[in-house]
Amino acid sequence: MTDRSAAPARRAPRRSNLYFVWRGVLGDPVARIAAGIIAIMVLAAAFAPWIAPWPPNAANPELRLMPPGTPGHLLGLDNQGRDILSRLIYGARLTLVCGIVPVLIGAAISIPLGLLGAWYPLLGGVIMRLMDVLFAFPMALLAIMLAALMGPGVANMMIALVVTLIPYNTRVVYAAACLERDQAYVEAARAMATPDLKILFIEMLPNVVAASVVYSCTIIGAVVITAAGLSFLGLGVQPPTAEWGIMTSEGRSYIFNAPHIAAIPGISITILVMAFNLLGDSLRDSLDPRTRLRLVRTAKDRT
Amino acid sequence: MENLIEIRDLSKTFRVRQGGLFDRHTVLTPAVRDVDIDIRRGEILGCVGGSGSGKSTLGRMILRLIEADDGTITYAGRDLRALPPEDLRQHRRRAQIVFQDPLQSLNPRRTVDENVARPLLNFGIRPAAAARRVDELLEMVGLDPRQSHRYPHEFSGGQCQRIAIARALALEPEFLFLDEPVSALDVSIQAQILNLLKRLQVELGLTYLFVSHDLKIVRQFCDRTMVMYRGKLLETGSSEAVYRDPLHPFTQDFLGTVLHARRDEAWQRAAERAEDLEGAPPDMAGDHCPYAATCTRRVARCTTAEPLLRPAAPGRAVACFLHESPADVPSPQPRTLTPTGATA
Ligand SMILES: Nc1ncnc2c1ncn2[C@@H]1O[C@H](COP(=O)(O)OP(=O)(O)OP(=O)(O)O)[C@@H](O)[C@H]1O
Ligand SMILES: [Mg+2]
Repeated sequence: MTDRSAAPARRAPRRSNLYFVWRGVLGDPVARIAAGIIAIMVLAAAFAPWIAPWPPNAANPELRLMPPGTPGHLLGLDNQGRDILSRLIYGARLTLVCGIVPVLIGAAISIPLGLLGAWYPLLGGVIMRLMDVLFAFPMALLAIMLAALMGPGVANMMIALVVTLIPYNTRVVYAAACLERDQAYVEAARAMATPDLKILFIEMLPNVVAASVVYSCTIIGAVVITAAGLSFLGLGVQPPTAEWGIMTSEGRSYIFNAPHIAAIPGISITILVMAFNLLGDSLRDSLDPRTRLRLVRTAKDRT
Repeated sequence: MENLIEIRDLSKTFRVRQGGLFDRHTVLTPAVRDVDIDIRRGEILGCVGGSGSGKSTLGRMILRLIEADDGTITYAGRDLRALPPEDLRQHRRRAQIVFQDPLQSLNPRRTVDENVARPLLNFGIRPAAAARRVDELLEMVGLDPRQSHRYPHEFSGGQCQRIAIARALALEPEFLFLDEPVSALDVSIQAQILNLLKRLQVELGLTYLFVSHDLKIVRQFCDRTMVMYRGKLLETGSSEAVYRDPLHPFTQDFLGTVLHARRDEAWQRAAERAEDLEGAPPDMAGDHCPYAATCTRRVARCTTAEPLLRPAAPGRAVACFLHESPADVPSPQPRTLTPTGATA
C-alpha cells in the first residue's frame, strides 16, 4: 500500500450514504427487526389483494364478534362479521400512506424553511413567528380545525396533517441550522465564494438533515394516531374503508365483550410506531460519518 | 518592498441586540479601532494580542467576511470595501483563510476530496480537472491523495490542518490569513505545520497575516509583528526588534507575561492584566490610552488623550506618549507639562 504510482487504481471505492444506511441497519439487531417489521407491513399493504384471505368489507354476520382462532378467521371477526386479518392487511395501505406521506411532504417544506430562516435573519424572524402562531394550537386541535375547514376526505386530511407538522420539523431544522451556521466550515465556504444557496443546500443540508430524518421517524407515530383521530371524527378516511385508526375506534364500543376488535389494530399501530422510532435512532448513527464507521468495519479499508 | 494591503483607520464595532421583550438594548463591542497597517508583498506579518483584542476581526475584514464600519482597505491598489459583487468573488481567489480548529473548518459530512475541491468547482473548474488538482494539492501539503475519499474526522488534527491549508491554496491565492493555525495542535505537530507553511510561503511567494498567542512562534516565524490591545494597534516593528526591545508598556508586560521572562509579583500582576482583556473595559470616560487603566508607567496625559501610532525608530511605530517626540504632539491638544519620556 505504499506504492504511489498505483494510486489511482488502488483508490478505495467511494461509499454512498445509502450504503452506510443499509449496512448500519443490517449491523444493528434492533434496527434489523424494526426495518423487518416495516418491510413486512409495506409488503402486506402492497400485495393486500393476494395475501388477504377475504375481501376487506365482506361481512359474515353469523360470526360477528368471534374471537381470534375462529376457523378461517385467524384474528377473529369484528362487530359486522368482517375478517379482522384481511382488514388489517388492507388497512396497512392507508395507515402507512397517512403516516408517511404527510411527514415526507412536511419535511420537504420544513427543511428549506428552516435553512433559509437560519441564514437570512429577517426572513427567519418572519418564518419562526409564523410557526409560533401554528404552535399555539395543540397538534390534534389544529389538524381538526383545518380538516373541518377543508371538508372530509383523505387528501384534505393529509393537507391538514402537513400543515400541522411543519412547525415542529421547521423548528428542529432551524435549531440545527443555527448551530451549523456558526461553524468554521461555513465561514470557510463563504471565504471560497460558495454562493449562499450552495452553502445552504450542499454544505449545511447534509449536517442538518439527520436531525430532521430522526425527528420525522419519531413523529410518524403521532401522525398515524392523529390521522386515526381525524378519521374517527369523520374528517379523514370514511367508514367502510379499512384503516387501523378507524378499526380501533370502531372496536371501542365492544371493548368489554370483544376486546380483540380494538386491541389488534391498536397493537399494530403501537408496533408500527415503535418500529419507526427504533429505525430513526439507527438512521441517525448510520447517517453520521463520525459514528458509522463503528457500524461498518471493513478490514481491508483499514491501513 | 511593495505593499500588498494598506489599511487605514479601519474600525469595526459589533452591535448585539440583547435582553428580552421589554428590556431590549444594543450592546456595542468595539472590536477594531482605527487600525493603520501595511502588509508588504511576500512578508509574514505576525499579529499578537490578548484574547478579544480584535485580531480575528481584523483578518476577517481583509477577507470581507466581516464588513468594516469605517476606514479603508486597499488591496493591490484597489479599494476593497467598494468592490462590486463579481470583483469580490474574484478577490476570494486571491485571499484565503486558515482557521484555528482544523476539524471544525472542514465539512464533517463531506469527504476530504469534496472539501478541497469545493473552491475549484466554485470557479468553474470541471470535476475531472478539479480531482487532479486536489491530488496535486494534497501531495503538496504532504498527504497521501489515496486517502482523500475518507472523512475529515478520520485524520489527526495536524493532517486536518494540512487539508485545510490545501483547500486554502486551491485557488492559488497570494495572501493567507492564518488565524492561530497551530494553537489547537500538539507542540511536535506545530513545528511540522509551521515548516510546511514556511516552505509554501517561499515556494509560492505568499504573503501571510499570522495570528498567534504564542510569542515564541511569532518571533521565529514572522518578519514583522504588530501588537494589538482592545482593538487598538499599539506597536509594530520587525519581530526581532519588538522582542529585543519592546517599546510600549503593554508589549513589555505582555512579553514578560507570555515569555515568562519575569518571575516576581510585578509579573503576576502583569499576567493578570494581559489575560483579563475580555473583562469590563476600564471605566474612564473620554479620550485615553486603552492601556492607561493598568499601565505602570502612566503619565497624566494618558488619561486625557489618546496616543496615535507614531514612527519611533527606523521601521518601528508605537502608540505611546512615552515615545512621542514633542514635535509630534498634535496641535489641537493643549500642551501639558508632563514628562514625555525618552524619545527612542
Ligand atoms: N460576531 C460577533 N458578534 C459580536 N461580537 C463579536 C463578534 N466577533 C467578535 N466579537 C467581539 O469582538 C471582540 C474582538 O474579537 P476577536 O475575535 O477579533 O478577538 P481575537 O483577538 O481574535 O481574540 P482571540 O485571541 O480570542 O481569538 C471581542 O470582544 C469579541 O467578543
Ligand atoms: Mg481570534
